[in-house]
Amino acid sequence: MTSPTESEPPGQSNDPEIDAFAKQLQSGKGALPTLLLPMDEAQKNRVIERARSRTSGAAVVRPNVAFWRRKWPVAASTFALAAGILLYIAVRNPSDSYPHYALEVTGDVAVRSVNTPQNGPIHLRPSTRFVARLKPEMVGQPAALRMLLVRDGKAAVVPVAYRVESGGVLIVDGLAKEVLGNQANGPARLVFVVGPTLPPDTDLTVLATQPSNTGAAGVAILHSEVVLEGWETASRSLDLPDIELAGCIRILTNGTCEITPQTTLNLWVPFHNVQPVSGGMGSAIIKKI
Amino acid sequence: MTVAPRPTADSTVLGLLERTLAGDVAAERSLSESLLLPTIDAAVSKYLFGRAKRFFEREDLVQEVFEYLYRDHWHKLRLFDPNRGTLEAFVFEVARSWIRDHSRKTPPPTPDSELDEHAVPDSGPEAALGFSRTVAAVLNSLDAEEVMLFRWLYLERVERAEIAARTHLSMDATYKRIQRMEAKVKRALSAPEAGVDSAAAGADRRTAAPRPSRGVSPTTGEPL
Repeated sequence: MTSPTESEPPGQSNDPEIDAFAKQLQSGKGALPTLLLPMDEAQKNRVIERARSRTSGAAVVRPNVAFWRRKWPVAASTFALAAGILLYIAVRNPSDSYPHYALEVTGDVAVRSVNTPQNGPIHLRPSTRFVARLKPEMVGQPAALRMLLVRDGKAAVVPVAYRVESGGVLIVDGLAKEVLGNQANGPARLVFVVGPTLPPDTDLTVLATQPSNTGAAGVAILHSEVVLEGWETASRSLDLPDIELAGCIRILTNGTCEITPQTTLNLWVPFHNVQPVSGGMGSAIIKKI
Repeated sequence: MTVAPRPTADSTVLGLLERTLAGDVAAERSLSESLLLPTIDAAVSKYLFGRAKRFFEREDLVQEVFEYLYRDHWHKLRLFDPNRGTLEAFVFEVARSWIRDHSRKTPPPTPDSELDEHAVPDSGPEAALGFSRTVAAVLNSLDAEEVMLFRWLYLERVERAEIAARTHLSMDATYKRIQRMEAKVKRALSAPEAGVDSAAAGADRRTAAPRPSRGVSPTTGEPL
């Protein structure tokens, strides 16, 4: 913005004194200065999304005479779609009366390359940031969530903290160690059970053991295959500036990682711990990570 | 003075409104972000400043008013008649009406030491106190429309032509509104004490009955 000049009448350029006040305002703190600041984009988005999820918005066009005259092909398509939906409702399995959710689980990747498509199970290390996002297909009544870990055909409930975002999206977000607690290495299956009213844990453990079970009695059941790595044969600490070592032959009680010349040693540094680290281990020197 | 040509109806706020009411989701978001939410937010901020408390309710109140406008497929917005004023003035009127009704149901404000810093001389560092008094004076000197104008122009750096398009006013009218707003802000900046004193005196008055919107003339920018 420019300051006023002789060729610019008042009102056509910003006033420098007010500009200075505005800059001070933007860097200021406190309730009152904040009240004069505009809502940011995130706040606007929240308001709009909440309004959409709570009320019937503008997505429905009210029909009028002109609509029927001009848009009969659209109307015909709509009827066809509606007929299809009715047919689906009529022929689908009656037991399919549970909420539908889309599950997205984020963990480590098997191959660290942005160009490698990720297939197969999610790899979880103690320091992995684990994010599970369950998004309902349709916004309905509030739902609760339980997570179970299934190994060797046995399911155990893992108490998790989760938050609910706009649109009824349930999110579990935390370090894998904090979310899952102490675990053993190896493949496992995470099972998410979500619904307005959840069965007792004893029933959940039965429901979770069937990989093909996707829902029952008003609850959705979602599965995600995972591989737990580095939970036992690793020296780990989540405190700065420690790193994790995986591939040790054994870990001594003093934290020493024993290796052989043939050992492939993997070093894992959580994003929030990334900083130059140097140290010694036998004859090997770890310099910068 | 160069006056930018008025945008065509489809690109203006009226065009956005028409598409919003027809179910265009992109237009709905654009209209909400560019005009509806800033307007509601300005009305709510001015109301909360008048109460001098409960600033934390801002987003909740904006949410309530926005949903009031939004529900039943924008039922309230469909009552807008472009021949009777600007959309901005209409939304301000809706927001103020809602706030007026809502304020009757709101219990008296509770003391909050953090929010009282501008009114209590020994509650914090002198510099912060002085700045809070200046902010209070500016907020007190501006009406809700001018708060929105100040935010657009000085905090969000919205171009004047864009402001004219959003408010559906001529460039001349927009310049005049800006001049009036700037004059008030400069007066408040030069004598914040006077602004704060009158703010304290006027707080209860505004709480009891928010000033009804008169809107502005689309051609001259003068208050109606």
